[in-house]
Amino acid sequence: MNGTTLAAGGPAAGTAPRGSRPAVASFAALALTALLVIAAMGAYSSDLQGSARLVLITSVIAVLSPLFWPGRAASSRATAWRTLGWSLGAMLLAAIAALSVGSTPHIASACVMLLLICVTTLGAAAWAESLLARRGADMASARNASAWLATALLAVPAAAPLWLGPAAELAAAERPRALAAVVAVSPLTHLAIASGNDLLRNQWFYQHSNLAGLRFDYPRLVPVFAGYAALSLVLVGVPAGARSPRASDFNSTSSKEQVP
Amino acid sequence: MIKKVLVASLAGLMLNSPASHAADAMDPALREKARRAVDAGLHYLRGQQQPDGSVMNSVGITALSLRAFLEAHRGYNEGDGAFITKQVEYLLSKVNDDGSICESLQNRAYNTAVALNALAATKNPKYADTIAGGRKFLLGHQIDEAEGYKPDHRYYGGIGYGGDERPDMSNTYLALEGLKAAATDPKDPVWQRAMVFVSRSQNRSESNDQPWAGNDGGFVYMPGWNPPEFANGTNSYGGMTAAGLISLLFAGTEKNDPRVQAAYQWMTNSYTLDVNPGTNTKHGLFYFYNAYAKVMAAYGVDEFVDGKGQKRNWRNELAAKLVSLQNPDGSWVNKESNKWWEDKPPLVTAWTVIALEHALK
Repeated sequence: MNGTTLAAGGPAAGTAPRGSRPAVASFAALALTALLVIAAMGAYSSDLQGSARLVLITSVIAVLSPLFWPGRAASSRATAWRTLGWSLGAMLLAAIAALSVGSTPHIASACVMLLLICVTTLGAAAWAESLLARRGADMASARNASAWLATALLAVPAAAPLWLGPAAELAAAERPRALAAVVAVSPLTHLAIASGNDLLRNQWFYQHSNLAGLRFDYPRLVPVFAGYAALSLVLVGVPAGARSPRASDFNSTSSKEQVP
Repeated sequence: MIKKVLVASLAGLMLNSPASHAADAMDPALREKARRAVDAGLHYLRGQQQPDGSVMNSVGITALSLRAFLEAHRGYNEGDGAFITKQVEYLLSKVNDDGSICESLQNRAYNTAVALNALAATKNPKYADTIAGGRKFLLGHQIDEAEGYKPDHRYYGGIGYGGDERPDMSNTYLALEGLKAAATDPKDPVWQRAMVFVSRSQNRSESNDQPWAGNDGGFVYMPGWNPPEFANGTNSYGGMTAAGLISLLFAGTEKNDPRVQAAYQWMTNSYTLDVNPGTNTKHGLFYFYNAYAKVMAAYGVDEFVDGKGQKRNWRNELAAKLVSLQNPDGSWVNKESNKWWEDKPPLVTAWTVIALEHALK
């Protein structure tokens, strides 16, 4: 997949003011891609239990969302609305994908967790995009870089139980809380506890993570919800209060060309 | 003459009574050592109790500790004081609306199963409703048609850790042990369904319809794979073979059933107490000791001939091994593996005390 295309929100997004049409087109692309990836990853196979399916669906949508996000809107307020709207759309998409194979317990809490993760991630992407634009990056580059940055911010800690697990196991001899800490920083864990899923004892994780056979505790759901809600408010609220970048901020090359 | 007849009759009675059975099968000096080891282990466990009665704030470990006390040769019961009743109260405080007995989202089936064993061991009818609730939870947790699985699915009949995750042989065995302790009707379909899963976890192609099945008679973790600690794959190993064999016996399978015979042959042929049999590692070694003691006691033999043609008295050898591994503070711990919490002395001590108690019975 080409990150430039994915994050640009359509062919005209590099130059035209960003309205609702590119956002709708981008969301349609997200929905199509997400559903294909979810199906390809075996979400509808009979081996996958309901809660694990919910984790798979919500995590795929969470990771893909920033890549398809059309970026900041013309104003900070519009950006905030776009972030919320996009996140709500992602949540609805997950609900439809999950309900298409039947009712699943915990679907409401899993979808709310996805909503909060999306708002946080897209809020971070908008923040990064704004900062990059102020440092002189052109609109398309700022948007692409921020999209990939937000995805990395989500995916790297999500996989922490895998890549950080061996180090945590070694550290646990001195600091028993190290295992729980590695599990707790993962957004995948957050989606799992909201889905009622014992993530590390799913077959795949049991086979590939060293943590499954060790003693750890998952974080509690309510504090995780509260943490994301607070982070969302900061990330969506702070840029809205700051100066919104103008179109000329993004078209830095052409702006410079116009200066005598 | 009359005196001789009386002595002979008394001796005959003693030989036939269960209490004297192990005494005959076990070296008397070793028996005394094993009892002292149990006492020291229980003393250690008593020191681990929190003010709320829990051990490590865990339903599972508390329940195992409670069972270790209640099944000890000292005959402890709730009348002996707070060190018993506080543990019971802790378990009762963790009963959930769905009948499960657990302090968290994790391991609900495992914790409920071991709590049922502990509560049943109190023999107190006051807990009948709690036990019935736990039984209902475990029955509902079995993977079957209610979850959309047909009998031809490899998960069918199994029981997992407690969410809706994949089932495995270890949790299935513990759940069956809990259901047996909870006096589940032997005609309940849960046993037959479980046997489908158990048979699919055995390396015996005559009774296992899975394509990977071998023919050594031992068991794997679940149909088609083992944990990474045992290099994944489908090789039989001791912990699961003991779990599989005891599951067959819990379900009422006769000793002359070819599945039971095949598993027993694997157990005796692969006999060792130095590593988890069938592997070259000590991962899950104390789990194996615990399950091995239970299955050998349930199978009802004192001696067997191992794969090298050597005659073995399992009670003597297991007791001697466990006594030799005890720490000065009375605890046991797996010093060479932290897998499956075997680096936690309270858990390993409870398992080991229960294993010794089975050897002493």
